[in-house]
Amino acid sequence: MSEQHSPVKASRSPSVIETAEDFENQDTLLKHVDISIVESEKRANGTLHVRDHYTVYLIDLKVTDVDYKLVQSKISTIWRRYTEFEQIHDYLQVTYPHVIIPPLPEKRVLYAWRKSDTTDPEFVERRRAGLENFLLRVASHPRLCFDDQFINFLQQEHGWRETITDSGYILQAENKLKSLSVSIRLRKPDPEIESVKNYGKQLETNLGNFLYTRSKIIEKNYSLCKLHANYGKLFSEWSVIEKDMGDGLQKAGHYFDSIADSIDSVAEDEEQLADQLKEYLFYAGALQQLCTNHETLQRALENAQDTLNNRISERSRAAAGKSGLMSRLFGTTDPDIVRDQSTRALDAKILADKDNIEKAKTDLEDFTKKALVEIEHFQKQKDKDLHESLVSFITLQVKAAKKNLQAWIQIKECLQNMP
Amino acid sequence: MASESSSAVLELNDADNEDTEATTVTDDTHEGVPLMMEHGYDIAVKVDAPMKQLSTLETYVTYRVRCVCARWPTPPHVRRRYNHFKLLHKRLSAAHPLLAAPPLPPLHSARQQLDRYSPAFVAVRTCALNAFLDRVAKHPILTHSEDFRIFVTTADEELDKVFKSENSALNLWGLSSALYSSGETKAANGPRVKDPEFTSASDYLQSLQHKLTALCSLTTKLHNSTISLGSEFMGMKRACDAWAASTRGRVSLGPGGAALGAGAAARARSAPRAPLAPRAVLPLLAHYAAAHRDKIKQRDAIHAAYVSGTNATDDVHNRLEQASEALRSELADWIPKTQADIKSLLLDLAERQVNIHKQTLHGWEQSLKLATEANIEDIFKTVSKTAVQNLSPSRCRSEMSPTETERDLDEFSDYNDTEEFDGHDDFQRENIDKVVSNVNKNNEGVLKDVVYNLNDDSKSERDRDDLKSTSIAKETKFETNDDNSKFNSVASKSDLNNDNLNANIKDNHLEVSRSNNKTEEDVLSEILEEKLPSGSENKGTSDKIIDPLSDFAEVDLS
Repeated sequence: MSEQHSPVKASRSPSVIETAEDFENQDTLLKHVDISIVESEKRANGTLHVRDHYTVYLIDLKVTDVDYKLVQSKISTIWRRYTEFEQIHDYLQVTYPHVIIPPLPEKRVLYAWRKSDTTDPEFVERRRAGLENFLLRVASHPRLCFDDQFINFLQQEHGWRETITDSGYILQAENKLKSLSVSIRLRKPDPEIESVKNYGKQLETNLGNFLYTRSKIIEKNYSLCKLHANYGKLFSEWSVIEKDMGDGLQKAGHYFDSIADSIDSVAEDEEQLADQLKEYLFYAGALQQLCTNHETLQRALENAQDTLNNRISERSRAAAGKSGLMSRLFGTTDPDIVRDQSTRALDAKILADKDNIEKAKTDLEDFTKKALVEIEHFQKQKDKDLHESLVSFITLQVKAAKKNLQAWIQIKECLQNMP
Repeated sequence: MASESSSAVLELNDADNEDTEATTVTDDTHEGVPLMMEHGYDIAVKVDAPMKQLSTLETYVTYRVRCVCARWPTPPHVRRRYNHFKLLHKRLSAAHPLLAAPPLPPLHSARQQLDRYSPAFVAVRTCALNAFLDRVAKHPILTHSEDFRIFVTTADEELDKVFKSENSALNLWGLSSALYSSGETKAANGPRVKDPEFTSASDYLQSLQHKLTALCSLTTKLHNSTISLGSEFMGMKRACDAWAASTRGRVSLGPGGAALGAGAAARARSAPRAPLAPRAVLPLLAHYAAAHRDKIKQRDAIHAAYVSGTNATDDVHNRLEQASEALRSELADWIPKTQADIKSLLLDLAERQVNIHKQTLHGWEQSLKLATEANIEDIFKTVSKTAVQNLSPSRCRSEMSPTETERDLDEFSDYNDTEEFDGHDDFQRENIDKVVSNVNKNNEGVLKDVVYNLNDDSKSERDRDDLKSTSIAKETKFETNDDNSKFNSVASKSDLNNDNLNANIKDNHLEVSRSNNKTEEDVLSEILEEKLPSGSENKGTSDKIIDPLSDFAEVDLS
């Protein structure tokens, strides 16, 4: 797969992607543009109600590829708020059912271990990072990145909201939701998709448990370390009244304070790791969504097949002259004219049905092919990312344990040197 | 008091007691830790081995008292109950009104009556009684008291005759004030006289009292928090185990590793018993300080009387002098001893904490090892953060000359197919070089940010800023396709080879990473190499293949 140059026209269907390797060799927006979210700002809707305050994020686009025509200007910036991100995300979900859409950072604070809400500056900062990550993921996905609406999202200053609602995605989304609310029971579920769906559920559970226990740990650890500040205070006050022990006590007190302080940075770093894991938690949800989409298509196919079967039996009855009302009530045979007419009509319908089935089949096959490639790629990426995150987590623990050990060794030394 | 007609032994022996024979009825015959006199003293006492005794009238706990003394012959051990101790205390206070006798552990509160025989309570009391008797024995004056001698030497059966309990109101009053160190003795009627010498002592004792009480409560809180943190770690371990169980192969290494670390952290904190000594001794010392303050007040009262009164001035003056003198010598003796006690308590606490953290650190190091083991394949595909983080300062840089990095990858793959992988040094060297060349090609622009810095704070500050400014997104993002495609081309070549690589080569990738580190402009965190006092950097220049975590392992914590 050679790289393709970007055309002037905005939307372009990607070339056939057969395998995961092809996937990775595709052209993406990210190869030509740098995207980042540089800052956030608080805005208010005019009123001074706290509720009407919202935060906007500044998206910064820099075109790195000189010849790239797709993006209008060299450098552009635009302010977007979280709900707009949600809109583009939902749009993508509806428009590309066979793609695992990158998830947004959490809307509400999940797995919170200290009181915080979405206006917290720390939370805003993490969300900024999460949104940037979202944009990067979308921009590096060959199927998603050249979408009209997405490009508009990045650039269109005014009236984007109208543009996107005009695309009618909301209606589609609602329709979809309606159809999904009926639990889908397939006659012959695709085993591969089934297993992927189960895997997605499992991953969700595992990640959820991990995040929960981690939040408990950091909560307890945090208060434990802050307890050391009390020790520090006690020791410094004590060192004032003691003559010989004073020095040792004071030094030890300093180390206690350092323990109390060290937990802050650890907590911050861990929070970022938790965000990474949360991303995959949501990703698991998106994976399950993909499977559900597949099931929907399969259900459509099965429905089409059912319709055909019904029609065929209807036709055979019509051919036998048994379809009229009279024949049903009294068992008489239809007159010939009626018989012929109905048979012909049904034949036509049967042809139409067969066409439907063919279409549904091709849809399904198409979808499945694309989806499988998508899934394979996702699995690879996920394995790598999760492993990295977990290793970082462990490394962070090593670091924290080391710090604590150091401090306590020093404390012990100070105490030993006391007379 | 009835002698023991039957003795039921509760599980009253906590592991904290030195002699841990626990539950045999033949407690008394067991010698336990031999009693040794400390330097400078001719006597040593120990209270331990609590035992529940049933008599016709009541049930009570007795404690074994052992004494080794140069001054009198002593029976190997005797058994005493709390009331006996109480009596002794009363007698001592009465005999030496100018001195503050060491305080006893408090009586039960009403609530504790229900819990009289709980092992924890009894253990704390044993510890406190031990401290009490020890102080008496080491006290220059009290140790020679007759009451003390009787207490320690009389055989159990005869004790009652000698140690009658007197219940006069006066004694009770004196007892309670000594035990509970409650409020003031009645102020003298005369004007308050502030004697600077004793005032400052009194102030000191008061603050000391507060500090000790605060320390005691802090220590209990610390212990409780540690235990609950331990249980949370257990929770994480279970979650990670479940996760690892549901995945296979390399993917399970991540959660598996985390499980390992969490488990170790949990175990380190799961000390079953609360540290006894602080709980027992610190309150006692606080009471003791208060007792001294009372004595000072008494002396002040005499002083006031002396200053204000007119009758029998000489006698009062004498008493004043006596009291002052007694106090001075008492305090001069008491303060160093108490400081020593405090020091040892704090050292104990520190020791325990050090052990906890040591164990935890070791556990997480093991888990890091596990998680990054056999993850070479990822190294080939992308230079992940993992690789970056696994950098130890490249000791092997000296071994790896630049030219070695030029070798061709194909050579590598051929080599792989034919060789056995069992860690020949040369082979691993070559692997290293191949991997290095591999990775070097792919390194430009990928490693933008420092992820975690395990060095000292100055560095970490800077790196944390980097972290903030560039955002975690960059680090986690699916790196630009450019890089990935490069990686993949490399990967596809080495894919075959990767399958052959096994954990034997784990050291390799770390070597790789090390040289990576140095070829990079960025300061990559030397995670596994903290500048510990032991100066572990010097080691290993001779080792070619170095265990990734050897830096940790050799931390010398002396």
